Amino acid sequence: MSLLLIILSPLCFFTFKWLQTHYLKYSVCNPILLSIAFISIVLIWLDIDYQKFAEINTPFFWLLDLAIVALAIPLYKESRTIKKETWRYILCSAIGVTCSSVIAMITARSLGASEQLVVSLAANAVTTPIAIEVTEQLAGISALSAVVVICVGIFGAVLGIPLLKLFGITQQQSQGLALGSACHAVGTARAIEVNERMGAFASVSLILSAILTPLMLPVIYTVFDVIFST
Amino acid sequence: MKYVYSLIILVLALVIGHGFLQLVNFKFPPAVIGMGVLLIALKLNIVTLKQCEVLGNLLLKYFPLFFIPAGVGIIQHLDLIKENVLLIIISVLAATVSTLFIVGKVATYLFSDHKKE
Repeated sequence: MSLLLIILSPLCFFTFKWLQTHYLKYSVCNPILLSIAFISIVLIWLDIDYQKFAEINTPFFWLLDLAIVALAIPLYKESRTIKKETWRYILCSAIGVTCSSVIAMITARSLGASEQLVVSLAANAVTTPIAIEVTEQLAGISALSAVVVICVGIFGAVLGIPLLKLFGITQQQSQGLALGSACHAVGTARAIEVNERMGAFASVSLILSAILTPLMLPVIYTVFDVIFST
Repeated sequence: MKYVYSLIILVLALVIGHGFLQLVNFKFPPAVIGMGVLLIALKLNIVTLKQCEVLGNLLLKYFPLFFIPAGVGIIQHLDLIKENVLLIIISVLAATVSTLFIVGKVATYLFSDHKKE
């Protein structure tokens, strides 16, 4: 039983990934989202407690942390390409982080969301592993953040570029930066599909957001909390 | 052997991250500190790209696989989501669309000198 539970994630992931590359070539058929949905259904169906599943899958949580550390590698490579204009890229990403979190929090709160829910929605524009970590630190629901982030990415991959065109944003550089900022990894993958240049800018803002979000979000959240609780 | 060496580098960076946060008693994702540590080590040529790349690239390639178990945690909160599904969709959609718009516009403004080149 334990063995089955630990091979469930890789089994689902590789199956759905294979299916997507060969048959279901749509962004909606995201292998991560499908895997999460499938495993959730299996666990509910077999009446297996999540705590037990998480305990058996602890190695994956360790690997998640190690992979975040490994993000330094693409960051180091990007840092060589953006050297001259670093501050402009940082400014862009900082505005992206602030905008996505503040608007999500304001909207959620004005619609009457609980504190825990507001926090969980704040990290909607950063790559999933960081969203999980940050939401956990702020006592939100990290699993909800993970799912929300993947859905945002899919939304961006499907409608991101048409929306940007509608807004009159046509430069490849700006489109790439916006996609990486708002729609992180899935959006970046889409940008790379369009062309390499757009992909490069998207990954710059993806990586910068990954660093800026844990630095900025606790501060933004505290300020937000002070303003709105009075 | 190359894998073992890069594993040691990555684990060491993570351990430093954990240690540092313990020391300053501050709530922050340890892995992000670990990422910063590795970045500084790369910049200062303490480690080379070659040394950590072997395992690093493998981990990055299968990144999504590692957060599936965390995402499955959603089954603990199905009731909360069911009650708030519309709220979640509206706020996240508003945030995403406006971030696309604002970052796109800001980037166009900030990099406007590139157009003339």
